[in-house]
Amino acid sequence: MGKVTDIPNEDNILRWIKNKHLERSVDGKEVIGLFHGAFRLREGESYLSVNWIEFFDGNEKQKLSKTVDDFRNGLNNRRLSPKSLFAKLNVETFKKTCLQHAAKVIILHEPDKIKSHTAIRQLPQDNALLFDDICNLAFDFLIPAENFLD
Amino acid sequence: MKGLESTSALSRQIDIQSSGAGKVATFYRNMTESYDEERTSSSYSNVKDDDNRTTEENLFDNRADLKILTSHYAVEHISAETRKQLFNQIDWLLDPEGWEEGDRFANSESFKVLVKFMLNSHPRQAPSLGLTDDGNLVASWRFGDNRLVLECLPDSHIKWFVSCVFDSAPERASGEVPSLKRLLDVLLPYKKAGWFKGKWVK
Repeated sequence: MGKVTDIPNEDNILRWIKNKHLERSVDGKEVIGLFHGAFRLREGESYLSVNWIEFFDGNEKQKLSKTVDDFRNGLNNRRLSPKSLFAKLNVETFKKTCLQHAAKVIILHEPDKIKSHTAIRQLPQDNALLFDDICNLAFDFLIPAENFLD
Repeated sequence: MKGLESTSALSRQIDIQSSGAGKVATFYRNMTESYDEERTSSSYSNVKDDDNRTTEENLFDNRADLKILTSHYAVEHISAETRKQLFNQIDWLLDPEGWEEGDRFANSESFKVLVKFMLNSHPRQAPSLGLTDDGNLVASWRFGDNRLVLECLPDSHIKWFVSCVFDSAPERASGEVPSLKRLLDVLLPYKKAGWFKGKWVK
């Protein structure tokens, strides 16, 4: 693992949201929310994996594109589903949201095979209200994965 | 094909047990035909698992299992419109184009809990469907600003979350209950949130 550093509050992180965590309207035409599972840890995980957008240089679009390319390096030849989404979250806002629920999360850049890999640690797993706030926060800035597919 | 054989066996079982056997048989035939169309039209990769079955085949069986379970339990009790909405949600959730390799398929025991809840609570419409990483069904209903989310566990435990606005004041609550009966008790104060119609069957 590379050098571990704190992510600046003004920077942003990107979280991949799978199709199964998307709440769709009854007619299926639009995504109307996110299910809490989008931010829950999976069995065996000790932190939530995200990607640090400002790790890369360039304008907003270039940084996002480079971050997704970097994320895809970790998929080990698995494809990126065109129905999945990415949520862009500001670090400071994310931390403040957690603090409102007495959760002091630590957001650390922990590069491995994925250069922008970042870990959110100490995120409580038993607080549905916190997950609801995080999902609402993430819902404000969603980017379709298909924007990054050839 | 192994998956179709297992689905076929379930279909035969339902033919015997269900009063709507004819409807189920027709429904199953229709699904089998659409499966052939899907197999030829989908661009999804044909990576095979240890049983020599593709993800697409497994997803087809998973979708079929959930739809047959719905028909088995609810063919006479859930409106055709709601059933259609529910089947569409199943299709979107278990769509090969949206599926991530290695994810757990939907747990049918968990889905049964959801169908039983629908039978007892009479929701106005079908829920939006999601899946946890364990394969448990997540279902949500919205009515205006009011939202109900259930995570159905295979052992009949249910995690619930409500977000409502009453008299212009927002409120949220969540919890876990060991049974459907207890869930209906817990949700009773939220009946006016608008997700349900008619009487509850407890």
